[in-house]
Amino acid sequence: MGVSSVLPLAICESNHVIGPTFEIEVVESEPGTRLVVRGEIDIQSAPQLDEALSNTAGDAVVLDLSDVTFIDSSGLRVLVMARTRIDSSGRSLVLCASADSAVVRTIRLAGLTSDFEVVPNVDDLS
Amino acid sequence: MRHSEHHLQGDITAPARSRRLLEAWAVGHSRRHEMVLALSELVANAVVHAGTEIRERGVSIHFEESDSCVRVSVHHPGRAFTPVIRHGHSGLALVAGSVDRWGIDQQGPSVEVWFEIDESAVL
Repeated sequence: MGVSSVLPLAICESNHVIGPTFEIEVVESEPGTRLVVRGEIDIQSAPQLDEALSNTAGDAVVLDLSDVTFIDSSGLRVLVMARTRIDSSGRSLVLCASADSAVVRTIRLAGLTSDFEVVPNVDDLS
Repeated sequence: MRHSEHHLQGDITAPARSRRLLEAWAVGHSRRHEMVLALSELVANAVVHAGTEIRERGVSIHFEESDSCVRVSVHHPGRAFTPVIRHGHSGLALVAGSVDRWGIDQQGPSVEVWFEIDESAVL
C-alpha cells in the first residue's frame, strides 16, 4: 500500500447534497496506480476522473468502480479516452465492477463491453 | 394517470437533481436504471448545449405514467434539432438504447425531448 489521497466533490445547499456525491481515492502502489471511485460520474464529476486518470503512474492502472452508483456518457467518454491513452503508452487499464452494477450495465448499453477488461472484484487481480 | 412536473436551474447540477426526482418517482420500476440514465442524458444535453436562455430560464421535466407506459420529457427554450448519433457511447445513443421510443418536438418557443418506456416491463 502506497500513498493515498482523497479528492471529494459535493455541492451542498441547505445541508442537502444536490450535486453528485463523488470521491476518488488514489493509491500509489506496485505495479501502478489504483483509483477507487465512489458516487456518481456525470458531467459535473467526469472532469475530475479524467484528471485523476491522466496523472496515473506505473505499468498497470486499476480503476475500482465497485462503489460507483451511476455513470453517464461523459463518464464513458473519459474511460474510452483513458484506455486509448494508457494503451498507447504500453500500459494496461483494468476496471473493477460487478456484472450487475450500474457501470457494467451502462457499458453494455453503449456496446463497449469488448473495449474494457473488467473484473468483478479487486481481489480477482493477480 | 400519475403526473409530476419540476423546474430545474439550467446548470451542471441539473442532471443530478433530475436523477434524484425520477429515482423517487419511479421506485419499484424494473427499468428505473435505464429511465434515470436517459433523463440524465437529456438534461445534460440541454445544459451543455445551453444558450443563455436555458441558463436564465432553466429546464422543466415531466413524468407521466399511464396504463400503457411511462413518459418522461424535458422542456427548455430553443429550437428542435435533428439528432446525430456519432458513436455508441454518445448521450443520445444511450437514450436510444435505454427506452422504447423517443423524439424531439417543437412546442412554440420551447423544445420538448421525450421518451417512453412500456409498462409491460413493470414487474
